[in-house]
Amino acid sequence: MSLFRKVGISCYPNISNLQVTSLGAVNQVRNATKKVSGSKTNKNDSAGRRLGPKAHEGNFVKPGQIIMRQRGSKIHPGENVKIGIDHTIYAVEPGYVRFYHDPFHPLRKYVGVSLKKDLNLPTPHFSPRVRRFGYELLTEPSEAKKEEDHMSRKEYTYQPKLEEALKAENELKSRITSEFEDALRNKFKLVLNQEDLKVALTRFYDIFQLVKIGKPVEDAKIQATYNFIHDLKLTERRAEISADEFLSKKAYFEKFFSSLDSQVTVDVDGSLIAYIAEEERQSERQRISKTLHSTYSNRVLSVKERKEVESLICTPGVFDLLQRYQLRTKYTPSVVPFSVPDSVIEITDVKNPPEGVIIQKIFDEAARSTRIVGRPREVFAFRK
Amino acid sequence: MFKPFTTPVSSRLASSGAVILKNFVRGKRQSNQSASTKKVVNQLSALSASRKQPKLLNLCNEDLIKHKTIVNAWNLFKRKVQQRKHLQLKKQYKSIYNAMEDLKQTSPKLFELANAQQEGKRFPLEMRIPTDYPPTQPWVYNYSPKNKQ
Amino acid sequence: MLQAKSGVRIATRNVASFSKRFQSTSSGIWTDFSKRSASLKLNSPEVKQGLLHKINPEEGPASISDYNRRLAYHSPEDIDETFKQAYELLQQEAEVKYKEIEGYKKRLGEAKSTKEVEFLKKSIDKLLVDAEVKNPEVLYNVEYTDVELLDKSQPVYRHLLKEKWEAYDLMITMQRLEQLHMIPDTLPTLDPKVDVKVKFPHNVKEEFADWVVPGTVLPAFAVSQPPTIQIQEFETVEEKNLYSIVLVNPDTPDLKTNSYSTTLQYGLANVPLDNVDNVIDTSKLFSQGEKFTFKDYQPLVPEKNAQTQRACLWVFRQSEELTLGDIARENFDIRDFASKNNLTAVGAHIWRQRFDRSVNYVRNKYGLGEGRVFRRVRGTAPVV
Repeated sequence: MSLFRKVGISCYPNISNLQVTSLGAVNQVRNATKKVSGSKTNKNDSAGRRLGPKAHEGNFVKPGQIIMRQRGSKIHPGENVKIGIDHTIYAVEPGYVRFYHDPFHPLRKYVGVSLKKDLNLPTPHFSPRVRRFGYELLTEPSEAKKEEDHMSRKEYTYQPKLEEALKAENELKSRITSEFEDALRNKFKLVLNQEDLKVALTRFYDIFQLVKIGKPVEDAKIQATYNFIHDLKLTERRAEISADEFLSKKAYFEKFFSSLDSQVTVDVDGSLIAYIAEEERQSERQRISKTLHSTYSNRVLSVKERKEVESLICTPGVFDLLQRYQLRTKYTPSVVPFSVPDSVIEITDVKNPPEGVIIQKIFDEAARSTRIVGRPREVFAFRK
Repeated sequence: MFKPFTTPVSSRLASSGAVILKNFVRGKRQSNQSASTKKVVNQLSALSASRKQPKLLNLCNEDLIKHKTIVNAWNLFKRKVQQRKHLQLKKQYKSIYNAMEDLKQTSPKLFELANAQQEGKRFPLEMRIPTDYPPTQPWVYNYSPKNKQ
Repeated sequence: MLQAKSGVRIATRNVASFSKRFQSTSSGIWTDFSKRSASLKLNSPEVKQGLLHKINPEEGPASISDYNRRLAYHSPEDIDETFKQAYELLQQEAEVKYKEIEGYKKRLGEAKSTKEVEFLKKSIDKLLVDAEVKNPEVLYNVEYTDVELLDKSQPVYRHLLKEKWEAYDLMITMQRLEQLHMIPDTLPTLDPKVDVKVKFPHNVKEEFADWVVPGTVLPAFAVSQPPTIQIQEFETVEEKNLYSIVLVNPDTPDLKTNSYSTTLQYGLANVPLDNVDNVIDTSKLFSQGEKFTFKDYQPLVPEKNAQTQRACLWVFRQSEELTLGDIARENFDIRDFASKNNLTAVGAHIWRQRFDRSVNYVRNKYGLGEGRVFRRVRGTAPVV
């Protein structure tokens, strides 16, 4: 320890060559050595790596052509060029080589390819990029057809599933429209000509689909009318009908829709029902809610009573989907809450519970312990 | 889960590790922790700090808004206290300033004296800058001023 | 056995008596709706009871829909008592603000110069925000109820919605505008002032019926009819502002120059909107669409191998009413259009499209003829 402190750092390399005298001073000893041959590793002089620019300012380059070979990024890649793993810069677009400085990185040199001869780089910050399209048009019709029908692997593997979905969709459509047709003819006794019937059925199917994803019925009606008028307008655009024809047809069908809406409307579950005015609907809503509250709330319902509640909730044209859901969770929950009278039965003999009582282990908040209670079978909606 | 503390305080202190470690023990250190405690300590040491955070409270919407409101009110309260303090200091400064101005008018000599630079005079230890809370060591009892030594 | 996990509270107290006992007796400015708008109220009475007074321990918090989770919920200790004090303190502060507003309103009645009137109105708006921004009912409404149903004529709602917008939606929009190079390919830059939302209401599939996240790639059938555009202003709009909206495709292949050109897909002008009436939806298009539309909607129909194309929607605030002549769809210069008509861009939206199997259907519908097909591999021909 003391030796190192005295000698200091300079003694570290050749500790073996040091002699310590009796006084504690250090002398270096040089042994007689003479190198006879050259070293093995001193001869590795490689040939020049041929670095430097391969294309110069203003030269035309093709995509993939090397512009610069370098060690490290002496020059950075700018517009329309890329940099390789060994920092080789190459063009990705055909154009003219430009060496330039970028105001956002003032200390760097850049090289880029400008797509036009008279354009300088960098492209001004706020002006649109100059871009090359580059895809050639297929003029041969058979070749074009083949290319258009070509599918990616992903698309190809999905085809069976897509076909199945389409089939199911078509089946649903034909089923629902035939139901609609049936209802129009038999329930509402509407006599329509073939074209009007077709339009009406399409309209009702549109409304049904829109209502199914949660749109209010009134909005769905407006959207369905708009869909029809828009399609009509496109037939005018395709010059299949004249402008006058369009206007007359538009007026006719608007009137037709309003008369249809005053008689028939689509319910949220996809059935045709008689039109109900908003005030009537409100009063009906209140009446049913009152009935539900007075007769079915805060008690354990039997299976029959549950069915009654369900039929009240599903009264045609009264409640929308969200309201139905809310009423169901309120009056026919899957498990009746503990707070409902007669839904909890104290039992003494756990082994032999009374008939029709289900044993349940619960946590008692007040006593902070588990407790075994019985519950009537009707408490659980989905239990046989 | 938690047993109540029934053992007397002194015996609990004696059995805790903090007291025993003060006595020097030669040789291999013997931990007085039980095997199960050691296991838990080992397991915890392998976990990162973020996993040892207390569980995030899952509040309902009402309680989240209540919490936000309480924080808002607390911030308002603190801001008001700060404003009051600031006003007080401002008043104090103004009154000092007025007094000095008065002194300047009535006796410029005394004013000069009051504002004279006091070189070589250190801040005496007996005096403290007024703070909101007392220091950790409230008074240095065996202190004697330098010039009296 | 969910019931076993949740706590059981067997009803010992009447719910009605509970809520009566916890009604606060204090009546401050936040419970007085004689001068304040009713839209600042929390609509659900159960949630309001839980928020302002105390969560009924037998029912649990009303905001949790699941019964078992509701019963298992425990509030933090002493939160109701602390909240009561906090509420009082904040309410007192709000009362001071409302008194200040009274003073400003008096001054506004006597003010003569327009500059002073403007200043006073701005101050009143700011004070209205300050007075309500800590009201728990307002905070609950903004945080947990349907944002579309909020009353945007209230400065406090606009303020809170703006904060929400800036925290997420604006960042997403700006990221997509920059990363997809809508800026600067169409307009140089954007200083966003309004929240622009877009959806396609004709869609009957749930995944396409909702508001479009900026940058989404959409299939052609999902955009085959004009979009619903919502423009939410956050500043006070007293009389209706006029807006212009253009939808451009900057990626239309231009084979002559082997580059791209911009196509105008949709143009609306002179659309009057304000804070509350802020949406151009189907019913508005149906009734007044012809008045606003200077270029009919034509969806993007990218051809096979023409890569992904961007539908860039720009919203401009007009300084006066515009009279636009016939504008060509092809080679539309949006920068020139904006500068000539003295328009300032206040918001933008973007979605993308590429060739899919529904493109041909949409092309036929709009009478656009057969689409071209390009080679799958990009050529090397330079830009002309």
